[in-house]
Amino acid sequence: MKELVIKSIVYALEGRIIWILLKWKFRRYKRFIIFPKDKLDYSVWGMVMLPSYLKKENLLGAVIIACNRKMEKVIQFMELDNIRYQALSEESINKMMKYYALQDRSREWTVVSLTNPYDTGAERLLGKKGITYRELVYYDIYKFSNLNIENEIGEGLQKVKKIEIILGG
Amino acid sequence: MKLFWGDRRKLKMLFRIRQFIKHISNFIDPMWEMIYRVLVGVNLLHQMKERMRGETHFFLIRGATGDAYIQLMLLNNWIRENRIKSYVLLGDATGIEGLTKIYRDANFIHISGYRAECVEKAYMLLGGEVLDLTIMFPWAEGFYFNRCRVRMIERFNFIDTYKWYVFGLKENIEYSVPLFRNLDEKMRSELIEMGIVEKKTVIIAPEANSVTRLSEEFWNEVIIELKKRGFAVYVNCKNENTFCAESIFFTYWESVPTIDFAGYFIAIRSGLCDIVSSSKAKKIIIYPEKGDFIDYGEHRSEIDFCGLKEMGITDMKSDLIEIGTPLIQNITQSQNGFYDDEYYKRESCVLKDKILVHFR
Repeated sequence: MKELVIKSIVYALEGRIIWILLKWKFRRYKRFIIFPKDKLDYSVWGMVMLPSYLKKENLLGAVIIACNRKMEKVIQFMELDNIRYQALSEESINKMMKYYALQDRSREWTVVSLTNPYDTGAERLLGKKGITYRELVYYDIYKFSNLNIENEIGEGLQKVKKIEIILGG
Repeated sequence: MKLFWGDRRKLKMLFRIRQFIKHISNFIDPMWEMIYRVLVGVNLLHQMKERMRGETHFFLIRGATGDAYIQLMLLNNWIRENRIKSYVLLGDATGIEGLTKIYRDANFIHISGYRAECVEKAYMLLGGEVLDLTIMFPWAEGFYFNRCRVRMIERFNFIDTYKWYVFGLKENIEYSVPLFRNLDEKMRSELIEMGIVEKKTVIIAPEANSVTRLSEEFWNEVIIELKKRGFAVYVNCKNENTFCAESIFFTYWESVPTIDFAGYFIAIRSGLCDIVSSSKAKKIIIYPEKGDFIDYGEHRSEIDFCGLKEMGITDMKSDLIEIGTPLIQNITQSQNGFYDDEYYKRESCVLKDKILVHFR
């Protein structure tokens, strides 16, 4: 236990340094969308809903940080000109998540996960009354309120299959 | 173990150094304070485990009494499904100690609010599995990462939050039966001495933490009318009683038999309503009406989300009337001074009529 505690704290301190460097590199951007390594469904829905999310938040652009290099192809496919992409290793992103566990970075970070840095418990609702990953990303990660998901996400829904193929293939 | 003078001085010095570091770290960098909290949280759980001398699972229980009541009602299902041999509830809310009297098998240890936050921080960094810890209020303020909103959408009600979101229960769910004081001759005499008239007394609970309040004027008009109709009226409130009825206080353990004896209970939707949901008295519970916009990130108190009947925690034969009104709102969505006087007067009359029609 002692080793795990020390390792986690050291990771958090390293994560903070990584964030300081990223913040400097992308200093013109206010929002960072981070994709820790997780189930494919989060990446797919995270990208499908991203344009609507940026519109909801009145963001002119954002930085995507991911360890899946195929994310760049998805950005090209979706023609997201206002998005910058930064590839990081899985370990580096996990270090950032450990930092996030200690300090609230919600104002600048949108993390496309519900278990990293810690389990929010939302996945326990999967399968209950028709809840899928789509609803989890929609309500919990991107914080939409409109009950009509199709209306809110619009054209993005038509790209689901293609994005799934790019990311999963 | 007898402490010698040298040991006492050493302990005192260590305590002072610890307090100083805690104080200084706030000025240096909040991150160091967070790291310190993790260490405090881990150390607390480690010491508790050593004290328990065995496999012990920890639950961190904080927040409102009503939430805690429902969670204790469901807890045994989780214990059974996860084959837990021994567990401890850690928490800082004073109301929970009152609840452990009605749930006798709940092993509760009170910790300070600061230590509870430290345990939360340890969970956030290390996870529940490593710490053998379950968080019973994952929507508490300290948990800022992607707080669950989907549990609040229209498909779910309040009990679903506990059954599935908090506990992830799978099998046949049974509600634990709380134990209230027996309404025996001794208790009856005590209540009569207090001035409670059997089956002809109305107990009003006008306060709630998560919902705005009706005006004092409204309640006084209701109280005066009830008294005219021959009812004794008492008010149960924590704050200063400015109503035209006497105060009544009771512990959770005595709540249901007191209300059963009185015969009538009128309340704004609150945790107390959950606790007395098994009472056989006529209960009139007032809820905020569902608004046009719902913030799923915050609390909901409307009938279709947390009505006692909707949640299934009240006996179907129970004499329960649930009324929605636009005069009160969820505390997180309150809009003071929203209504004009005419609208307010009109809706007040409507609500009063809906309440008083049950008192003849």
